[in-house]
Amino acid sequence: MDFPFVKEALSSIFKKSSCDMYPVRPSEAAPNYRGRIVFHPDKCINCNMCERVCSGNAITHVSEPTEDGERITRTFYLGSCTFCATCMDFCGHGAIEFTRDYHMVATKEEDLMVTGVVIKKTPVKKAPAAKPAAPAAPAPAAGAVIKPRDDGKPVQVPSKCVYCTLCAKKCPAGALTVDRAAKTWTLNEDECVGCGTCADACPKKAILMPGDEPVAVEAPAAPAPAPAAAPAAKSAVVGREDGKPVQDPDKCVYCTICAKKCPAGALEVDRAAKTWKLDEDSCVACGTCESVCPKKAIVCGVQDAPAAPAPAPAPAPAEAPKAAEPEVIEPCKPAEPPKPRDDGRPVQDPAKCVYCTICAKKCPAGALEVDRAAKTWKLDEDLCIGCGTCAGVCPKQAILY
Amino acid sequence: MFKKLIEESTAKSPWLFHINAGSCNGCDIELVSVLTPRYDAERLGVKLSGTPRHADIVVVTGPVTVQSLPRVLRTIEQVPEPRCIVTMGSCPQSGNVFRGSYSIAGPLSKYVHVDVDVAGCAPKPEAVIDGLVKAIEILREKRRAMN
Amino acid sequence: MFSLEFLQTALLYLGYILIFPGFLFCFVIGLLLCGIDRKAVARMQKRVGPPILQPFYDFFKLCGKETIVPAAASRTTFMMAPLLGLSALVVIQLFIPVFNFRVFRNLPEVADIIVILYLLLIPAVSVMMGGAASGSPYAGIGLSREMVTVLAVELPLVLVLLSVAKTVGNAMGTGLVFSMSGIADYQAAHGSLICRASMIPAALAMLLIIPGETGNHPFDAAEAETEICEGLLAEYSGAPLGIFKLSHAVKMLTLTSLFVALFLGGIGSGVVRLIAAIGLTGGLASAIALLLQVLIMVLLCIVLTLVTISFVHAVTARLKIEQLFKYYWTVVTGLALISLVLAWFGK
Repeated sequence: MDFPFVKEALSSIFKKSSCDMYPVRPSEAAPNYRGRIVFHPDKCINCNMCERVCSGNAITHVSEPTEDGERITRTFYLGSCTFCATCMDFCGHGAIEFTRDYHMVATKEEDLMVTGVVIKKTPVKKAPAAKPAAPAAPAPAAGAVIKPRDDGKPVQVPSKCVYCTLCAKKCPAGALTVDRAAKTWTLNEDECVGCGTCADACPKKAILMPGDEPVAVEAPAAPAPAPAAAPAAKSAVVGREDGKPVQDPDKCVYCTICAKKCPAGALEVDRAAKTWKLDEDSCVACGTCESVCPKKAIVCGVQDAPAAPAPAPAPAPAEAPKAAEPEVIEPCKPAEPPKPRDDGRPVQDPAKCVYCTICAKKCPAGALEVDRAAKTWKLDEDLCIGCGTCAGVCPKQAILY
Repeated sequence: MFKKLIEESTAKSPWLFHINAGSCNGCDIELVSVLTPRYDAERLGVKLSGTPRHADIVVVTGPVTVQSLPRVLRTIEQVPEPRCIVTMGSCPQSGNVFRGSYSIAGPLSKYVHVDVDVAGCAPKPEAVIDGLVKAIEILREKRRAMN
Repeated sequence: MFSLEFLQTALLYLGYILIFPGFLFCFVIGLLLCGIDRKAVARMQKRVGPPILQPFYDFFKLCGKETIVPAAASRTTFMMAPLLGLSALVVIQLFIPVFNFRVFRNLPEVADIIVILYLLLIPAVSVMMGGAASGSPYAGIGLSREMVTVLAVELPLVLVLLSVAKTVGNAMGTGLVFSMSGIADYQAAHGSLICRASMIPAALAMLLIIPGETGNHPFDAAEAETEICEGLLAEYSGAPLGIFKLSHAVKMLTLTSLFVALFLGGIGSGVVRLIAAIGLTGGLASAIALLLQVLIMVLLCIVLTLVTISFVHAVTARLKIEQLFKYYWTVVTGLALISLVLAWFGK
């Protein structure tokens, strides 16, 4: 037996103890310690980025409409915080600060709440009037190069932009105004927080953020109806009115991808026999087959513009959802772009939804009712269990959960 | 006078019992470090006891998983009065990053009255000592209210 | 029937039981020793440690706590066991002479090493009874471990006591002397036993027995709070637990004072001689001598606690039960045997 601590124990009796004597002698946290959160509402622009990145759901807000905007009360619940500081990192305006104060002891839950009130003025009205198409104005000459900006704000590439307005809908700060008819893309410099959401949302990669490759401008590419010039004659197939797919036998190589991806299992493709069969009863007309087909050999729905019937390569997938869009948008025009709900129940994005009914079919609780003809999507709040199955099966990511 | 003596003694001799209700071990390590030479909570009379029957203060760490919930409640019931329940870290207060998970039954305050919350993920040992000091005050109040 | 003399004697013995070497003395000095032990361990670990009065706080706090009796427990045994253990310890304290002071000075054959040996078992047995009555499985494990600990410690203890008895007996020419008064008288006349070479191994063995008998670190496998939830005490709460904690503290006093009585008994006569040398006589002298002797006794107990309990606690980690058993039956028994053999052959 040996006792390695004999000497240590004996000598320690006569030494000073190594105790910090904490409650008697106050002690300070190390530099960069992440303790109690301090929220500066004056700097907050209410982009909600902090809420989105928070892993512990510690950040919430309540907004009340006021005369000229919104009154938003943002709450940080320290009892749910991981103190990871991701919210601080993501906050472009330094509205969130982590202090070195670690004395977070509470007997009531309210003691652990950090709140702040943000007054947000509605930006939409003044934006188009104040700055008429600022970035769009210097129409770039052929051969010019569009570079990302240094200040972290987005830049539009007019040659790629189809003015789909998606970026404007997604912008958390409401800094973008896009007019589909007038083909303008306006950025409100004051409102923009440089979050990059618009670039991520853009289906055409027409928005450049810092770090993106500069894009050379092709002179003739600017006008949108370019695809209309595509050979119309080649597409021998006409889409069906009910939105179900039609095969173009000339293009089809019977690769079976469409059958594999069909969420309803309505397609049967035999590579050897070169057959392509659609089960009309199963088909939900979601358009997945059309979008996955590598040869663009499937057409879903009737194209609304006969002038450009079934445009060939590129626009085909983009056209389909667009075709549905004008009608879809009508019922929900007054509403703002949908946000996921707090109670874990799904929300439909009418801009994306093709009313394929697959969500209703897969819902384990039978809480959804979708009518393809009437283009309605109804959620029975009482039946919904918030499982998220609908969002998972939606082929168009049109359900926010 | 004897009552006063017991009340003072209660405030000077808080024995801890630690329940891990599915914690990631971060808070557990910080709690044990409270007893190390540097923080030495034994100055306050704190002793880590091995059974809930001896305890005055119950420290709960972890988000209270479905599996641990009945055990946690049974353990807390076994602590004799006056007792004080302290939640340590964000997990037992809200579920923290595990909030909403199918396996989480928490927060603890849904099931028992929680006396002191020590926030942090994990809290600094100093914060834990703060929490214990608070818990001791509550213990003293509870003892005073007992007779 | 109730003569004045009888009343006086009764009062005197009541005083013995309740105040001086009895309950109050045990209570105060025992808890004080426990507090000093905790403080010393803390200092050896470079901590500040609890206040010296901490065990008093613990005890009074436990008195004010709710007492829970488990549904599976046998109530009477569960509640009575702590009292049994404590009273046994108080009785032992009456039997252990404080140098020249003895409770039973008129009945030398009452205070006997063999009786002390048996009484020392009672606290251990009472803890076992209480634990078994609580019906907890942890107490069950603790019970078996406590029993092994008692077995392990008892053998060397018996050998130590035997060798002491034999040494004194040899010197007195009466074979074996088991009477505590006899041992104390011999030491008062001929100096402490520890000064004899043959007794040094026995004294060492006794030092090693003290932490084992009190169930202190590293021999606390029976009450391992981290692995078997305090073992036998797992179900105890409130005042009964406080009494168990008190008995544990008193046991520290009992064993250290037993060591002093067995091996350091000669110091007391030095005090008497010193007072005689100053020239004090009469009642005052004997009172001062008694006070001094008690003081020296307590000081020696504190020193012994520091050496055998605190220091050993600070430098070791808990032994497994089989390691504990092996250790006591080899090393400690070996030491005691050496002494016994030396004493037997009259060295």
